[in-house]
Amino acid sequence: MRKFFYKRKLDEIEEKARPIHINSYRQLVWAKFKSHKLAVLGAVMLVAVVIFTLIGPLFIDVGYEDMDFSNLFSPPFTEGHLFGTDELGHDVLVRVMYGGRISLFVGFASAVITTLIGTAVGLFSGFYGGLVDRFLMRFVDVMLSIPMFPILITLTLVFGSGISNIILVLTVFGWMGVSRLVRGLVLSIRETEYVMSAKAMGVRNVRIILRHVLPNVVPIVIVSATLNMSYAILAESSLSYLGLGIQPPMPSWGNMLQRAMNYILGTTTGVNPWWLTVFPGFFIFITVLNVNFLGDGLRDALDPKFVSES
Amino acid sequence: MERILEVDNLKISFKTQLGRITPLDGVSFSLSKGETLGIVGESGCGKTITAFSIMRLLPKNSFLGEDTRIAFRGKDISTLGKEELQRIRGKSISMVFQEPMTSLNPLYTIGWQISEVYRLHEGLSEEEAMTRSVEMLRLVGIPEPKKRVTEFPHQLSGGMRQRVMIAMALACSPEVLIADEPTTALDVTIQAQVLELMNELKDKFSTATIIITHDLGVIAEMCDRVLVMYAGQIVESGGIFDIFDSPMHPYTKGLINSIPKIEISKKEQRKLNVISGYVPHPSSFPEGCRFRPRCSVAFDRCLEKPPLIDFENGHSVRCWLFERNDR
Amino acid sequence: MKVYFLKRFLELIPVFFAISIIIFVIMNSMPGDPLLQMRMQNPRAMANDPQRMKELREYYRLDDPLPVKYFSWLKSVMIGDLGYSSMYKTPVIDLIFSRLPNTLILTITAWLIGLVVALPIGILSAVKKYSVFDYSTTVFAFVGISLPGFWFALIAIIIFSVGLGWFPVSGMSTYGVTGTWNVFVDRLRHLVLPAFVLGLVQVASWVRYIRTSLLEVLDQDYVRTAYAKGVPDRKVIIKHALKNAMIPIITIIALDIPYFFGGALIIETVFSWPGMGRLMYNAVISSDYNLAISCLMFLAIVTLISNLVADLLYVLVDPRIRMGRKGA
Repeated sequence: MRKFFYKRKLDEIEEKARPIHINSYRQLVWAKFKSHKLAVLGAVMLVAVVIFTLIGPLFIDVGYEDMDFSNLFSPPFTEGHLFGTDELGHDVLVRVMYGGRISLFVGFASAVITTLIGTAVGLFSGFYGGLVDRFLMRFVDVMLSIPMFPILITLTLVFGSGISNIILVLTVFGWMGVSRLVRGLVLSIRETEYVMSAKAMGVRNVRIILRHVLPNVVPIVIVSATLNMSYAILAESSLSYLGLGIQPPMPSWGNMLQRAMNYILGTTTGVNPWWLTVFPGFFIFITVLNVNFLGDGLRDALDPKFVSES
Repeated sequence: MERILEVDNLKISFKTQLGRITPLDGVSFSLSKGETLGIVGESGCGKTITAFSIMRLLPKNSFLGEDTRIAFRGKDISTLGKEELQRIRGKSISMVFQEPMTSLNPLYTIGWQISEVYRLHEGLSEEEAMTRSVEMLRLVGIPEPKKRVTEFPHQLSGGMRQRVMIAMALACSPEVLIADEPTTALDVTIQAQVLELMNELKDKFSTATIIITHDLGVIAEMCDRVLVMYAGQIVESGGIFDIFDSPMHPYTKGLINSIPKIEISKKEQRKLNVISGYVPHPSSFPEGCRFRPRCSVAFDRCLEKPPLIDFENGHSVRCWLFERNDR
Repeated sequence: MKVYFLKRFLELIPVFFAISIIIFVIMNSMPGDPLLQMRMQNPRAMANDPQRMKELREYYRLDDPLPVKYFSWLKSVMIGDLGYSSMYKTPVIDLIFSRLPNTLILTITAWLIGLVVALPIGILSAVKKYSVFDYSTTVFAFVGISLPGFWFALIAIIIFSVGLGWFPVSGMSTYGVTGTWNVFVDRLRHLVLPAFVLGLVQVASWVRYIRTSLLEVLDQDYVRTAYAKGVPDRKVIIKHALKNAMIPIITIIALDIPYFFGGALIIETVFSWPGMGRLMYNAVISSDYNLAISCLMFLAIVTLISNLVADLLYVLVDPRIRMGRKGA
């Protein structure tokens, strides 16, 4: 087949492109997701990271608090310490694993809670409308444009540190983004003919919400949850880095970086323990990256109108 | 009559992330100077793609068939380079689109948008182009053109915007005008006005016109010849009287029958005639004759792809029912 | 148009009050008694004298109900009296004004870097959709939004300051440098790393947004009309598409200004940059009530102003809003 815009010949298309046989929405979503290479990569890598943090410690003999005095500030690939050790001889690898558990858990829990709250608020606000809706949304709009981070810092001081408190901190204002998104969607669904006809037929509001509105809102909510999770992981590690989040001795990727910063110019022995900075941060980065890939792929796959050119 | 546009074996495919789709499969027709050709069919039959492909307005993932040829004034324009193509667009071949509400750029005045064509193709200065634009607006029946020229699209109604589109398209007196569902998005009364305007103008400028529509009424108003399309192919073509008086293809017959008639006696008043079934998606065209699943008179020969069969009076049909044994 | 502005401005006033209430409530929920703080800092003057304590409590109205406290605070803020910082022992206003320029330098530079890098890349990747350039830009954008800002800063320090020695590790200037040119170069060297770190992270999200906005516009009917008129590709993209895409782009770029201030907080902490961000952070963790709450309010005001600016730009660019939706 001749290419329309450019002069190259593209006969390979004949063999490589398969004809489409899509019979259901689910098949379409799965097919689109599969063809989104980054999303698949993200999903696989994410599972790998989760396994790494959950199962990993079983393969390591050391605990995250064990101190190996013969090996302070050892670089990676030292005997028994794949990622090296820190100033107290803690094994960095095992701490990264345990830290991962905490960071992943905080991220996941915050994402779930904020999504649930935000969806509920958005559904209610969008569907019932009125003054409450207008006030709520104006408020949410401006609150959202205030940079969250300084507020988060203040909140950690109000609530204190520790896992459940950090989750609380992240969820207090975290639901706002989702609620705005959901509310917008609910507004457009509310005006569609099938909802209007359901109302005209006298179906009770709650049923309408559950059967008509909710299923259409789910794709956006899923995507929003993944984005929320990546934000939560970044926020938790930033807070822990500042000393406000998860406190030692419990390791978190963020607070490991806080300790590492003390030695960024090198230790008293002249060694620069770059591995203390690189590894925990790298894991934050990789996890968030893959969650973002996944979220992007989910968004493209779940959007019914979107079939991309390849 | 001189043939100004000849489309030969037009085949278009799209490459998508789910595979390859071929919505247009070997469409051939010609357009003579001053003639008005109608292309009629349901949504999804490929008529809009046909229109877009002439000026190569299809997206980047589209592919042209190897043997396809689109000849404008004898020269193949399907292989033309970008610059030459841009010289033809808007000047020798123009288009009017379906949605007047969204087809004009909201950030520029309509005067600017019309004069763009003059500045581009006739090298006029801004002032000269603006004067000509005012003239065109007057020609298409927009009152107070001097005032309108400084207004933005959102300040005009749908019908007026479509007139502006027509003005833009006819500004450089093109030889071919392609109108894709020009009145579908308009109210019925406005529709009539716009169609009347188009008739007037195409006679005045003797522009060869292609009108794409799903509305047989529009076809009857405007066209000399008709192409009936279904599932990416032409299933019938001929002069307008032939098609309406003696339609051959079951699909054409079905279309004509489904026009609701008001003046029938109580005796004849029955249900609305419909063609059962749905238009197939390009990813799953039926084997053999593509209309077979919905055809009431299909028989076993229909499992084979029917060719286009020509008759002397210029009437052609793609249906085994008309297979002539003298070949 | 002026009416529109007035309306938007007035709409922001209740929002301002709502935010001030929230900030006030949060700040007052923090554990720690201001008087205790003062006592810890100055034990001799604040000897354990219950009578004096009581008098001080009354003077500072520490036991008044919350709403009363709120209004008295609000009143003093309105007249510009932001109180004293317990940490620095100077009026809060002076502190803010002395640190503000530093943050502005950092923030504005980072913002400019972001703009200069993101715009062309975003536009190009939209125009060359699905090309190698586009894919790499997408990956780069993902990397950018997934990077923890502070980690990126630390790595940058390790590589460029410690490793290569090109830039200083922290601070805004080196002590003892004289001569206008030398001071200028020295300041510049200190500015580079923090500004780039702050800017590049923003570039990532902007690039994606610019690309998406432009792509959406390119899909519009009027762009197809422009092609059909024979307008050359470059002109279609610049004159027809970009102008329309600029509307959402400008809004986002203006609305993101508060984020620069927020992001500056952590960057300033990593680089020990003497700006408002670090001031805010120190204030909050040291329970310096006056300073902390004033910094937060400042942030809120910056946000409201940038909202207004975004609205202004939007109106200027889009004639539909400018004229109101009048009929023919």
